[in-house]
Amino acid sequence: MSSEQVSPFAISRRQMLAGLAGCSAAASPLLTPASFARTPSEHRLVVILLRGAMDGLSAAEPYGDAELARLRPGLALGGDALMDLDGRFGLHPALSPVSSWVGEGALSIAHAVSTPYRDERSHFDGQDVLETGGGKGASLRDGWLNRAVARIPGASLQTAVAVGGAPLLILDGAADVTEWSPRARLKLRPDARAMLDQLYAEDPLFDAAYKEAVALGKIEPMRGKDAAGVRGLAGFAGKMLSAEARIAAFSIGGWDTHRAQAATIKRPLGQLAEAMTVLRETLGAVWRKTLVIAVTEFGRTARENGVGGTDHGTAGAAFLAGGMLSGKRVLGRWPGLKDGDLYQNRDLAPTEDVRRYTGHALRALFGLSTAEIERDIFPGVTLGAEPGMLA
Amino acid sequence: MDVAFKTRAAIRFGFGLRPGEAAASDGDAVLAQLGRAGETPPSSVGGPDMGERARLISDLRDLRKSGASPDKLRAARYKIRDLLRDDIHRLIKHTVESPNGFGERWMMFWANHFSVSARNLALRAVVGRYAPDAIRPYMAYRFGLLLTAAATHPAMLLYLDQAQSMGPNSRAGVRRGRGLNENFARELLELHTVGAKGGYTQKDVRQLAELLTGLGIDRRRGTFRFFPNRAEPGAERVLGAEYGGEWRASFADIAAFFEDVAVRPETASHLAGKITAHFTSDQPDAKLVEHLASRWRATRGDLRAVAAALIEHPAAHASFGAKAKTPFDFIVSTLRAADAPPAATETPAKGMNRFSARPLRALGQSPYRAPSPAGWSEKAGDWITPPGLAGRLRYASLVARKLTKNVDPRRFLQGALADAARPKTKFLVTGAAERWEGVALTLASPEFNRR
Repeated sequence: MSSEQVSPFAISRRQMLAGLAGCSAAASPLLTPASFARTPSEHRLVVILLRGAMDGLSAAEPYGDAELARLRPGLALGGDALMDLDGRFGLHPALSPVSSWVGEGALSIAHAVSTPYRDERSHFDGQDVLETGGGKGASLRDGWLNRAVARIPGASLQTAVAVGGAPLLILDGAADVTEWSPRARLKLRPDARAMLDQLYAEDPLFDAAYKEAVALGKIEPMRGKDAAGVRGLAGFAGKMLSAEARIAAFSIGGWDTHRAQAATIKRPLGQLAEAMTVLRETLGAVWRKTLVIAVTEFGRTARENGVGGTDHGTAGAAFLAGGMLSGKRVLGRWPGLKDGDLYQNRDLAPTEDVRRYTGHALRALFGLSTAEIERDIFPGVTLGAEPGMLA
Repeated sequence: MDVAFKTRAAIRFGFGLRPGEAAASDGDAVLAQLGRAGETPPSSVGGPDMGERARLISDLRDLRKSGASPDKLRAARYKIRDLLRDDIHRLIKHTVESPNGFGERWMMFWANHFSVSARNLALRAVVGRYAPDAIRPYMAYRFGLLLTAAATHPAMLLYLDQAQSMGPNSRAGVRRGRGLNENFARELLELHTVGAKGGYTQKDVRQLAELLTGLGIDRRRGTFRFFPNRAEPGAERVLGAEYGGEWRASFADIAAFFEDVAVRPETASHLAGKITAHFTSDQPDAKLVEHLASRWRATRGDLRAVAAALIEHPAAHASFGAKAKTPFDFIVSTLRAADAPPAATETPAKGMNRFSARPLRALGQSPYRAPSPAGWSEKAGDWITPPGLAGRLRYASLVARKLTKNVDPRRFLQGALADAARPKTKFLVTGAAERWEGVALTLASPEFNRR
């Protein structure tokens, strides 16, 4: 803070927002947050961020690729242990709660996808690129979903709500984001209100947080033990989407499986399956107008490492679910796993920009134009033909 | 508003004012707090030593192997749980009671920089002893020394999976069919030293992972041990310099890397920026950052000299109030301002103390539970959220009602904030209908939550 400041406690809203942007990916201190937005469309979009780099080669194992057993002698499960997708790929058994969706065309995998982030393999930078939607060299400070909401005709920016602590960068930006957590409630006597109004009036950061806390004090808190868990989060998102919200975003962590991956990946995969199941249950009839996209900052090394885990890689997989899918089970072009096929001789090579899927989703669900998406939402992406994801 | 040096020293560079405790009146007095905190022996702040902690883990492992009854297994797990509970309360208590505010802040900064977290049972048993052993004794000396201590402590080796990494061509690696894990090498560069923009490549990460093989744990003693038979044969080239290779692998090769990376200009800039942001503002003053970085370069990472560079620079004082307290700092400074009795920080018979550890958990910052290797966020916007502020209001009224009965709120305000109190807050506190309300308004005020 520089010397132009008048009072030591006066910080402009602008400075505060500048401090916010770009930091939320690193460490979200409170509960897993979620964000919502209203639009006039009847369609629903759920974006699930898989923080920590999901191993796409385990989640949707390319058991038909003969190289896999050589690269992953300890980790590859083999066709018999998997739930087959198309004779080449199989779902990890921890995803069994949603395995029946494949047959009905409600679950697809986009494989060998990545963001434009390359080579440094840092979670924090990778998640920033994933959330801001930037291309190479683009330094965007607000979330791509936020920019999309701002361009959807009739979308109401003031209605974005985030659950928990820090708002997701994916919806962070020009829109006012109010936050809500299952636990915090604020009940104040009228005279106490009047005192606190004055106490915070001169400090924009505290004033904004206080006013939103008071406004949200009326929201009914979630009940039950799992209020803060993935089940609670997905259930809450489903409830919001069944009412007026049309876009929801939240994240599931625990994917950074450097060690003993055979055991450690089961929990996050199970949580992903649970989140999708709860969403579908809660959404009921609206499910057929819903698209769920689960994306991660990057994939993991093609070879297992020395301790039964995998390290940070490049291309991974994205999950697509909902009632709007084409029914094609595995999307994208498979690059192969021969040494020469791998990116830098270590990672699954990306053959598709994951932003093409999210971009086409925004186009189909909310009517954004190709030009808007290529220029404003995902600078640097070439949208091209629909990748076969939607019906 | 001009605030006295003593007020700034206590609030901005320490854990806040406490009745009966003399605040530092000049820069030397602030730095003396660092010296004294650094000399606090591990045994007096760290609880049971690593040997005892290792025994708890091996006892549990033995019970599991021998197929002991569920009751016995549970009892062994509870011992570890209770130890962590004690560790949490011990940390809060020491921080509240220590007269060496700046030293304790410096300690917490480095413990969060070299973050570890109680992710599994073994880590739950050892995290409490990590900072007392590996951070506090080294934090007023060369950064290379601190880095070496942190990077070789069993808690760090467990947390970043280094304890199991082996050179794929090492004797142990070949025999057991094990190999490398890049996790520690990557975080060491990205988070601990040169930083994400430090100009390293994937190849550096890989080479460093190879160089680091051999770092391990003596599981019986609970101490660091170097295993030459796990070390990848041959020399490694990291950040342009070559390490090891000619002779039998030795820890000296790794230590040489730690010393080299500690004095790199990228490390100096990365850490200068982080220290400045921690103590002054989420948008640190560029001149101040460069002042610290140049001191770092000139003294080859002498941390006491870097701390002196921070305290002496006017820009470190000009932005007073710009930084928001994290929940830990808010609760510690509240208990100090309230001159809370020992019972407010002691481990209760069951669960967490309702005046300290429990509200800290509710505010989202349970000690030893940092969410990632990057440690806790300290950005104002991450903590001063609607639920975060609602929680602080609730805690303020709890403390005001239960711990400061019959305290004159005007005296409380003066003791907690001295000349940093705004006229508006003074006005509201003076006009509060009940005493406790005046105290709660003080604790909930923006200036008490800032520094």
